[in-house]
Amino acid sequence: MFTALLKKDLLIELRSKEIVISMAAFGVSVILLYSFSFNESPRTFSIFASGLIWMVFLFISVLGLHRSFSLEKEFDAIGLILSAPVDRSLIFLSKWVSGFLFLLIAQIIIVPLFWLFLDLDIPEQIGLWLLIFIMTDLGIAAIGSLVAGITLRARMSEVLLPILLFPLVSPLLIAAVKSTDAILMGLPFEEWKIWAAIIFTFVIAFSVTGVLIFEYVSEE
Amino acid sequence: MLEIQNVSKSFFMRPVLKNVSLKVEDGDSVGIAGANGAGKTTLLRTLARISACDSGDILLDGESLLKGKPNVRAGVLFISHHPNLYPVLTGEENLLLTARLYGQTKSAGEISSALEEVGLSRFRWDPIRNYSRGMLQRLGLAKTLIVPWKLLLLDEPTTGLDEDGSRLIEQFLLRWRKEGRSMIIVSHDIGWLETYCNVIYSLSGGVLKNYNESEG
Repeated sequence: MFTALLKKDLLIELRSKEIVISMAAFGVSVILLYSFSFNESPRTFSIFASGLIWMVFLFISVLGLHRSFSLEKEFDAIGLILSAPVDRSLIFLSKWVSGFLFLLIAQIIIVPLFWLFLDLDIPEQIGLWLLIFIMTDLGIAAIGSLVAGITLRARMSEVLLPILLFPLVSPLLIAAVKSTDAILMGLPFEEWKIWAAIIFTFVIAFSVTGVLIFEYVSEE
Repeated sequence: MLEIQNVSKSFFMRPVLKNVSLKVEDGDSVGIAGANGAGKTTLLRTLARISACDSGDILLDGESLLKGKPNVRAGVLFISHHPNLYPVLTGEENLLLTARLYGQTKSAGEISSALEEVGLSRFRWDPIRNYSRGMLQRLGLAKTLIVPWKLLLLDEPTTGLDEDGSRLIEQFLLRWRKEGRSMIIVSHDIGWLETYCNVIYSLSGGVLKNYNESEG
Protein backbone atom coordinates (compact mmCIF):
# COMPACT_ATOMS: atom_id res chain seq x y z
CA MET A 1 0.00 0.00 0.00
CA PHE A 2 2.90 2.32 0.83
CA THR A 3 4.33 1.86 -2.65
CA ALA A 4 0.93 2.61 -4.23
CA LEU A 5 0.70 5.87 -2.28
CA LEU A 6 4.30 6.86 -3.03
CA LYS A 7 3.89 5.97 -6.71
CA LYS A 8 0.78 8.12 -6.80
CA ASP A 9 2.69 11.16 -5.42
CA LEU A 10 5.56 10.64 -7.86
CA LEU A 11 3.23 10.12 -10.82
CA ILE A 12 1.29 13.28 -9.98
CA GLU A 13 4.55 15.25 -9.85
CA LEU A 14 5.76 13.66 -13.08
CA ARG A 15 2.56 14.83 -14.76
CA SER A 16 2.14 18.25 -13.19
CA LYS A 17 5.82 19.16 -12.58
CA GLU A 18 4.50 21.78 -10.19
CA ILE A 19 6.50 20.98 -7.08
CA VAL A 20 10.13 20.47 -8.09
CA ILE A 21 10.09 23.18 -10.77
CA SER A 22 8.71 25.82 -8.42
CA MET A 23 11.20 24.80 -5.70
CA ALA A 24 14.17 24.85 -8.08
CA ALA A 25 13.11 28.11 -9.76
CA PHE A 26 12.81 29.88 -6.41
CA GLY A 27 16.12 28.44 -5.18
CA VAL A 28 18.04 29.42 -8.32
CA SER A 29 16.59 32.97 -8.24
CA VAL A 30 17.71 33.47 -4.64
CA ILE A 31 21.19 32.13 -5.45
CA LEU A 32 21.49 34.59 -8.32
CA LEU A 33 20.55 37.37 -5.93
CA TYR A 34 23.15 36.15 -3.41
CA SER A 35 25.74 35.97 -6.14
CA PHE A 36 25.18 39.61 -7.18
CA SER A 37 24.91 40.85 -3.60
CA PHE A 38 28.13 39.20 -2.40
CA ASN A 39 30.07 39.81 -5.60
CA GLU A 40 32.37 42.36 -3.95
CA SER A 41 33.07 40.39 -0.79
CA PRO A 42 33.37 36.63 -1.34
CA ARG A 43 35.15 36.31 2.03
CA THR A 44 32.05 37.65 3.84
CA PHE A 45 29.90 35.26 1.88
CA SER A 46 31.89 32.19 2.82
CA ILE A 47 31.31 33.07 6.50
CA PHE A 48 27.54 33.11 6.02
CA ALA A 49 27.28 30.45 3.29
CA SER A 50 25.88 27.67 5.52
CA GLY A 51 23.12 29.84 6.98
CA LEU A 52 22.18 31.28 3.62
CA ILE A 53 21.87 27.95 1.85
CA TRP A 54 19.75 26.38 4.60
CA MET A 55 17.52 29.45 4.50
CA VAL A 56 16.92 28.76 0.80
CA PHE A 57 16.12 25.11 1.60
CA LEU A 58 13.68 26.12 4.32
CA PHE A 59 11.74 28.35 1.94
CA ILE A 60 11.70 25.88 -0.93
CA SER A 61 10.54 23.09 1.37
CA VAL A 62 7.55 25.21 2.48
CA LEU A 63 6.78 25.85 -1.17
CA GLY A 64 6.99 22.14 -2.01
CA LEU A 65 5.04 20.94 1.02
CA HIS A 66 2.26 23.42 0.44
CA ARG A 67 1.91 22.41 -3.20
CA SER A 68 2.08 18.71 -2.42
CA PHE A 69 -0.78 18.93 0.08
CA SER A 70 -2.77 21.40 -2.06
CA LEU A 71 -2.93 18.72 -4.74
CA GLU A 72 -4.68 16.52 -2.16
CA LYS A 73 -7.28 19.23 -1.64
CA GLU A 74 -8.17 19.67 -5.31
CA PHE A 75 -11.30 17.62 -6.11
CA ASP A 76 -11.18 16.60 -2.40
CA ALA A 77 -8.83 13.83 -3.54
CA ILE A 78 -7.65 13.16 0.02
CA GLY A 79 -11.17 11.78 0.66
CA LEU A 80 -10.31 8.80 -1.56
CA ILE A 81 -7.34 7.82 0.61
CA LEU A 82 -9.00 8.58 3.94
CA SER A 83 -12.13 6.55 3.15
CA ALA A 84 -10.11 3.61 1.77
CA PRO A 85 -8.98 0.81 4.11
CA VAL A 86 -5.49 2.29 4.36
CA ASP A 87 -3.44 2.58 7.53
CA ARG A 88 -3.02 6.34 7.88
CA SER A 89 0.53 6.07 9.12
CA LEU A 90 1.31 4.89 5.56
CA ILE A 91 -0.16 8.12 4.21
CA PHE A 92 2.28 10.02 6.43
CA LEU A 93 5.18 7.80 5.41
CA SER A 94 4.47 8.22 1.70
CA LYS A 95 4.19 12.00 2.07
CA TRP A 96 7.40 12.03 4.11
CA VAL A 97 9.36 10.06 1.52
CA SER A 98 7.95 11.95 -1.47
CA GLY A 99 8.59 15.30 0.29
CA PHE A 100 12.17 14.20 0.96
CA LEU A 101 12.68 13.14 -2.67
CA PHE A 102 11.28 16.40 -4.06
CA LEU A 103 13.55 18.42 -1.75
CA LEU A 104 16.55 16.31 -2.69
CA ILE A 105 15.92 16.71 -6.43
CA ALA A 106 15.57 20.49 -6.04
CA GLN A 107 18.83 20.54 -4.03
CA ILE A 108 20.64 18.57 -6.73
CA ILE A 109 19.80 21.48 -9.05
CA ILE A 110 20.46 24.26 -6.56
CA VAL A 111 23.59 23.19 -4.65
CA PRO A 112 26.04 22.96 -7.60
CA LEU A 113 24.88 26.41 -8.77
CA PHE A 114 25.35 27.78 -5.26
CA TRP A 115 28.92 26.52 -5.16
CA LEU A 116 29.63 27.62 -8.71
CA PHE A 117 28.17 31.14 -8.59
CA LEU A 118 29.61 31.91 -5.20
CA ASP A 119 32.97 30.34 -5.82
CA LEU A 120 33.10 28.18 -2.69
CA ASP A 121 35.58 25.36 -2.04
CA ILE A 122 34.36 21.77 -2.14
CA PRO A 123 34.42 20.48 1.47
CA GLU A 124 36.96 17.79 2.28
CA GLN A 125 34.53 15.72 4.37
CA ILE A 126 32.14 15.33 1.46
CA GLY A 127 30.62 12.07 2.75
CA LEU A 128 29.70 13.64 6.08
CA TRP A 129 28.44 16.73 4.31
CA LEU A 130 26.09 14.64 2.16
CA LEU A 131 24.95 12.70 5.21
CA ILE A 132 24.08 15.94 7.05
CA PHE A 133 22.16 17.13 4.00
CA ILE A 134 20.19 13.92 3.71
CA MET A 135 19.43 13.68 7.45
CA THR A 136 18.32 17.32 7.64
CA ASP A 137 16.14 16.87 4.55
CA LEU A 138 14.53 13.84 6.19
CA GLY A 139 13.89 15.95 9.30
CA ILE A 140 12.39 18.86 7.35
CA ALA A 141 10.20 16.46 5.34
CA ALA A 142 9.00 14.66 8.49
CA ILE A 143 8.11 17.86 10.38
CA GLY A 144 6.70 19.43 7.23
CA SER A 145 4.48 16.45 6.33
CA LEU A 146 3.09 16.33 9.84
CA VAL A 147 2.38 20.07 9.97
CA ALA A 148 1.00 20.12 6.41
CA GLY A 149 -1.31 17.25 7.40
CA ILE A 150 -2.53 19.24 10.40
CA THR A 151 -3.15 22.39 8.35
CA LEU A 152 -4.60 20.55 5.34
CA ARG A 153 -8.22 21.16 6.38
CA ALA A 154 -7.68 24.74 7.52
CA ARG A 155 -9.07 27.48 5.35
CA MET A 156 -5.82 29.48 5.35
CA SER A 157 -3.44 26.55 5.23
CA GLU A 158 -0.88 28.47 3.16
CA VAL A 159 -0.56 30.97 6.03
CA LEU A 160 -0.74 28.42 8.83
CA LEU A 161 1.86 26.07 7.39
CA PRO A 162 4.87 28.41 7.74
CA ILE A 163 3.60 29.80 11.06
CA LEU A 164 3.58 26.30 12.58
CA LEU A 165 6.52 24.91 10.65
CA PHE A 166 9.18 27.57 11.21
CA PRO A 167 9.38 27.34 15.03
CA LEU A 168 9.37 23.53 14.94
CA VAL A 169 12.03 23.30 12.29
CA SER A 170 14.32 26.03 13.73
CA PRO A 171 16.39 23.83 16.09
CA LEU A 172 16.92 21.35 13.26
CA LEU A 173 18.09 24.08 10.90
CA ILE A 174 20.37 25.64 13.51
CA ALA A 175 21.99 22.22 13.92
CA ALA A 176 22.24 21.84 10.13
CA VAL A 177 23.87 25.28 9.78
CA LYS A 178 26.35 24.56 12.58
CA SER A 179 27.22 21.16 11.10
CA THR A 180 27.63 22.55 7.57
CA ASP A 181 29.77 25.37 8.95
CA ALA A 182 32.01 22.92 10.79
CA ILE A 183 32.36 20.76 7.68
CA LEU A 184 33.25 23.78 5.51
CA MET A 185 35.86 24.82 8.06
CA GLY A 186 37.25 21.27 8.09
CA LEU A 187 36.69 20.74 11.83
CA PRO A 188 36.90 17.13 13.08
CA PHE A 189 33.57 15.36 13.69
CA GLU A 190 34.31 15.10 17.44
CA GLU A 191 34.01 18.88 17.76
CA TRP A 192 30.53 19.19 16.24
CA LYS A 193 28.97 15.78 16.84
CA ILE A 194 26.39 17.31 19.19
CA TRP A 195 24.81 19.11 16.20
CA ALA A 196 24.70 15.90 14.20
CA ALA A 197 23.07 14.20 17.20
CA ILE A 198 20.39 16.92 17.32
CA ILE A 199 19.61 16.39 13.62
CA PHE A 200 19.40 12.63 14.11
CA THR A 201 17.13 13.04 17.17
CA PHE A 202 14.77 15.33 15.25
CA VAL A 203 14.45 12.86 12.40
CA ILE A 204 13.61 10.01 14.77
CA ALA A 205 11.28 12.05 17.00
CA PHE A 206 9.18 13.57 14.23
CA SER A 207 9.00 10.50 12.03
CA VAL A 208 7.74 8.42 14.99
CA THR A 209 5.31 11.19 16.01
CA GLY A 210 4.00 11.41 12.46
CA VAL A 211 3.42 7.66 12.24
CA LEU A 212 1.63 7.64 15.60
CA ILE A 213 -0.62 10.68 15.25
CA PHE A 214 -1.35 11.09 11.53
CA GLU A 215 -4.47 8.97 12.03
CA TYR A 216 -5.96 11.71 14.20
CA VAL A 217 -4.64 14.82 12.46
CA SER A 218 -5.82 13.78 9.01
CA GLU A 219 -9.56 13.68 9.84
CA GLU A 220 -11.82 16.71 9.65
CA MET B 1 -24.74 -4.88 9.30
CA LEU B 2 -24.21 -1.21 10.18
CA GLU B 3 -25.09 0.36 13.49
CA ILE B 4 -24.62 4.03 14.20
CA GLN B 5 -24.71 4.63 17.96
CA ASN B 6 -25.38 8.16 19.28
CA VAL B 7 -23.02 9.91 16.90
CA SER B 8 -22.59 13.63 17.55
CA LYS B 9 -20.46 16.15 15.75
CA SER B 10 -19.96 19.90 15.97
CA PHE B 11 -18.15 22.36 13.78
CA PHE B 12 -16.78 25.28 15.81
CA MET B 13 -19.27 24.72 18.68
CA ARG B 14 -22.18 24.46 16.21
CA PRO B 15 -23.75 21.02 16.52
CA VAL B 16 -24.24 19.37 13.13
CA LEU B 17 -25.18 15.86 14.23
CA LYS B 18 -26.98 15.31 17.53
CA ASN B 19 -26.96 11.77 18.93
CA VAL B 20 -27.67 10.21 15.57
CA SER B 21 -28.50 6.50 15.81
CA LEU B 22 -29.39 4.23 12.90
CA LYS B 23 -29.40 0.55 12.02
CA VAL B 24 -28.91 -0.71 8.49
CA GLU B 25 -29.69 -4.39 7.94
CA ASP B 26 -28.25 -6.53 5.15
CA GLY B 27 -29.99 -5.63 1.88
CA ASP B 28 -31.45 -2.38 3.21
CA SER B 29 -31.44 0.65 1.00
CA VAL B 30 -31.68 3.57 3.39
CA GLY B 31 -32.48 7.05 2.17
CA ILE B 32 -31.60 10.15 4.17
CA ALA B 33 -33.35 13.33 3.14
CA GLY B 34 -32.83 16.82 4.38
CA ALA B 35 -32.41 20.44 3.38
CA ASN B 36 -29.04 21.96 2.48
CA GLY B 37 -26.85 22.20 5.57
CA ALA B 38 -28.89 19.63 7.50
CA GLY B 39 -25.79 17.48 8.09
CA LYS B 40 -26.41 14.74 5.51
CA THR B 41 -22.99 14.94 3.89
CA THR B 42 -21.30 15.24 7.28
CA LEU B 43 -23.01 12.03 8.37
CA LEU B 44 -21.81 10.16 5.28
CA ARG B 45 -18.28 11.60 5.60
CA THR B 46 -18.25 10.43 9.22
CA LEU B 47 -19.31 6.93 8.14
CA ALA B 48 -16.57 6.99 5.49
CA ARG B 49 -14.03 8.05 8.17
CA ILE B 50 -13.16 11.28 6.35
CA SER B 51 -14.64 13.26 9.24
CA ALA B 52 -14.17 12.41 12.88
CA CYS B 53 -17.14 12.47 15.26
CA ASP B 54 -17.11 13.98 18.75
CA SER B 55 -18.86 11.07 20.44
CA GLY B 56 -20.63 7.82 19.68
CA ASP B 57 -19.56 4.78 17.72
CA ILE B 58 -20.17 3.17 14.34
CA LEU B 59 -20.20 -0.62 14.11
CA LEU B 60 -19.90 -2.59 10.90
CA ASP B 61 -20.72 -6.28 11.39
CA GLY B 62 -20.08 -5.78 15.10
CA GLU B 63 -16.65 -4.15 14.70
CA SER B 64 -16.01 -0.48 15.37
CA LEU B 65 -15.25 1.54 12.25
CA LEU B 66 -13.80 4.28 14.44
CA LYS B 67 -11.54 2.23 16.68
CA GLY B 68 -11.01 -0.88 14.57
CA LYS B 69 -8.24 -1.64 12.11
CA PRO B 70 -8.39 -0.05 8.63
CA ASN B 71 -9.51 -3.29 6.99
CA VAL B 72 -12.83 -3.06 8.91
CA ARG B 73 -13.86 -0.39 6.41
CA ALA B 74 -12.75 -2.43 3.37
CA GLY B 75 -16.36 -3.15 2.39
CA VAL B 76 -17.55 0.45 2.67
CA LEU B 77 -17.39 2.57 -0.48
CA PHE B 78 -18.16 6.27 -0.44
CA ILE B 79 -19.24 8.04 -3.62
CA SER B 80 -19.40 11.74 -2.94
CA HIS B 81 -20.64 14.61 -5.06
CA HIS B 82 -16.98 15.73 -4.89
CA PRO B 83 -14.91 13.57 -7.25
CA ASN B 84 -12.49 12.35 -4.52
CA LEU B 85 -10.00 11.64 -7.29
CA TYR B 86 -6.74 13.19 -8.50
CA PRO B 87 -7.25 15.83 -11.22
CA VAL B 88 -3.88 15.40 -12.96
CA LEU B 89 -4.27 11.63 -13.30
CA THR B 90 -6.28 10.03 -16.09
CA GLY B 91 -9.61 8.27 -15.56
CA GLU B 92 -7.86 4.92 -15.93
CA GLU B 93 -5.08 5.81 -13.47
CA ASN B 94 -7.59 7.04 -10.91
CA LEU B 95 -9.53 3.78 -11.10
CA LEU B 96 -6.34 1.71 -10.88
CA LEU B 97 -5.32 3.69 -7.79
CA THR B 98 -8.78 3.24 -6.24
CA ALA B 99 -8.62 -0.51 -6.84
CA ARG B 100 -5.13 -0.69 -5.35
CA LEU B 101 -6.19 1.24 -2.23
CA TYR B 102 -8.98 -1.30 -1.69
CA GLY B 103 -6.50 -4.16 -2.07
CA GLN B 104 -7.65 -5.11 -5.57
CA THR B 105 -5.38 -5.88 -8.49
CA LYS B 106 -7.31 -4.98 -11.62
CA SER B 107 -6.15 -5.51 -15.18
CA ALA B 108 -6.36 -2.80 -17.82
CA GLY B 109 -9.18 -4.80 -19.41
CA GLU B 110 -11.27 -4.75 -16.21
CA ILE B 111 -10.74 -1.00 -15.82
CA SER B 112 -11.59 -0.52 -19.47
CA SER B 113 -14.87 -2.42 -19.18
CA ALA B 114 -15.83 -0.43 -16.05
CA LEU B 115 -15.18 2.79 -17.96
CA GLU B 116 -17.15 1.49 -20.91
CA GLU B 117 -20.11 0.66 -18.72
CA VAL B 118 -20.30 4.27 -17.51
CA GLY B 119 -19.73 5.68 -21.00
CA LEU B 120 -16.22 7.01 -20.45
CA SER B 121 -14.03 4.62 -22.45
CA ARG B 122 -13.24 7.32 -25.02
CA PHE B 123 -11.83 9.54 -22.28
CA ARG B 124 -9.87 6.93 -20.34
CA TRP B 125 -6.47 8.55 -21.09
CA ASP B 126 -7.58 12.13 -20.44
CA PRO B 127 -6.60 13.81 -17.17
CA ILE B 128 -9.81 14.10 -15.20
CA ARG B 129 -9.35 17.84 -14.65
CA ASN B 130 -10.64 18.06 -18.26
CA TYR B 131 -13.79 16.09 -17.40
CA SER B 132 -17.15 17.81 -16.99
CA ARG B 133 -19.08 17.53 -13.73
CA GLY B 134 -21.29 14.81 -15.17
CA MET B 135 -18.28 12.84 -16.41
CA LEU B 136 -16.75 12.98 -12.95
CA GLN B 137 -19.99 11.63 -11.48
CA ARG B 138 -19.86 8.78 -14.00
CA LEU B 139 -16.25 8.07 -13.03
CA GLY B 140 -17.40 7.93 -9.41
CA LEU B 141 -19.95 5.33 -10.46
CA ALA B 142 -17.19 3.32 -12.16
CA LYS B 143 -15.59 2.94 -8.71
CA THR B 144 -18.58 0.83 -7.67
CA LEU B 145 -17.67 -1.64 -10.43
CA ILE B 146 -14.08 -2.20 -9.35
CA VAL B 147 -14.37 -2.15 -5.55
CA PRO B 148 -16.11 -5.17 -3.98
CA TRP B 149 -18.32 -3.16 -1.60
CA LYS B 150 -20.76 -4.45 1.00
CA LEU B 151 -22.16 -1.04 1.90
CA LEU B 152 -22.36 1.85 -0.53
CA LEU B 153 -22.59 5.44 0.69
CA LEU B 154 -24.01 7.69 -2.02
CA ASP B 155 -24.03 11.44 -1.56
CA GLU B 156 -26.44 13.27 -3.90
CA PRO B 157 -25.70 10.84 -6.75
CA THR B 158 -27.56 12.70 -9.49
CA THR B 159 -25.91 16.09 -8.94
CA GLY B 160 -24.49 17.43 -12.20
CA LEU B 161 -25.71 14.52 -14.32
CA ASP B 162 -27.46 15.05 -17.64
CA GLU B 163 -30.49 12.99 -18.69
CA ASP B 164 -28.37 10.04 -19.87
CA GLY B 165 -26.30 10.16 -16.72
CA SER B 166 -29.39 10.23 -14.51
CA ARG B 167 -30.77 7.23 -16.38
CA LEU B 168 -27.47 5.43 -15.87
CA ILE B 169 -27.46 5.96 -12.10
CA GLU B 170 -31.10 4.89 -11.97
CA GLN B 171 -30.22 1.64 -13.77
CA PHE B 172 -27.38 1.02 -11.32
CA LEU B 173 -29.63 1.71 -8.31
CA LEU B 174 -32.40 -0.55 -9.57
CA ARG B 175 -29.89 -3.32 -10.25
CA TRP B 176 -28.41 -3.03 -6.76
CA ARG B 177 -31.88 -2.99 -5.19
CA LYS B 178 -32.75 -6.15 -7.12
CA GLU B 179 -29.52 -7.80 -5.97
CA GLY B 180 -30.36 -6.87 -2.37
CA ARG B 181 -27.24 -4.81 -1.80
CA SER B 182 -26.95 -2.41 1.14
CA MET B 183 -26.83 1.31 0.52
CA ILE B 184 -27.23 4.61 2.28
CA ILE B 185 -28.31 7.32 -0.15
CA VAL B 186 -28.42 10.97 0.72
CA SER B 187 -30.53 13.43 -1.24
CA HIS B 188 -32.65 16.51 -0.72
CA ASP B 189 -35.35 14.94 -2.91
CA ILE B 190 -37.59 12.62 -0.87
CA GLY B 191 -39.67 11.70 -3.91
CA TRP B 192 -36.57 10.45 -5.71
CA LEU B 193 -35.40 8.51 -2.64
CA GLU B 194 -38.76 6.75 -2.31
CA THR B 195 -38.14 5.05 -5.65
CA TYR B 196 -34.88 3.42 -4.56
CA CYS B 197 -35.05 3.06 -0.79
CA ASN B 198 -37.03 0.80 1.52
CA VAL B 199 -36.43 2.98 4.58
CA ILE B 200 -36.29 6.76 4.58
CA TYR B 201 -35.07 9.04 7.34
CA SER B 202 -35.10 12.78 7.49
CA LEU B 203 -32.25 14.77 8.96
CA SER B 204 -33.07 18.20 10.26
CA GLY B 205 -31.06 20.35 12.65
CA GLY B 206 -28.71 17.43 13.22
CA VAL B 207 -31.54 15.14 14.42
CA LEU B 208 -32.32 11.97 12.47
CA LYS B 209 -35.94 10.77 12.39
CA ASN B 210 -37.76 8.00 10.58
CA TYR B 211 -39.48 9.89 7.78
CA ASN B 212 -42.66 7.80 7.80
CA GLU B 213 -43.04 8.12 11.58
CA SER B 214 -42.28 11.83 11.61
CA GLU B 215 -44.78 12.40 8.80
CA GLY B 216 -47.37 10.27 10.54
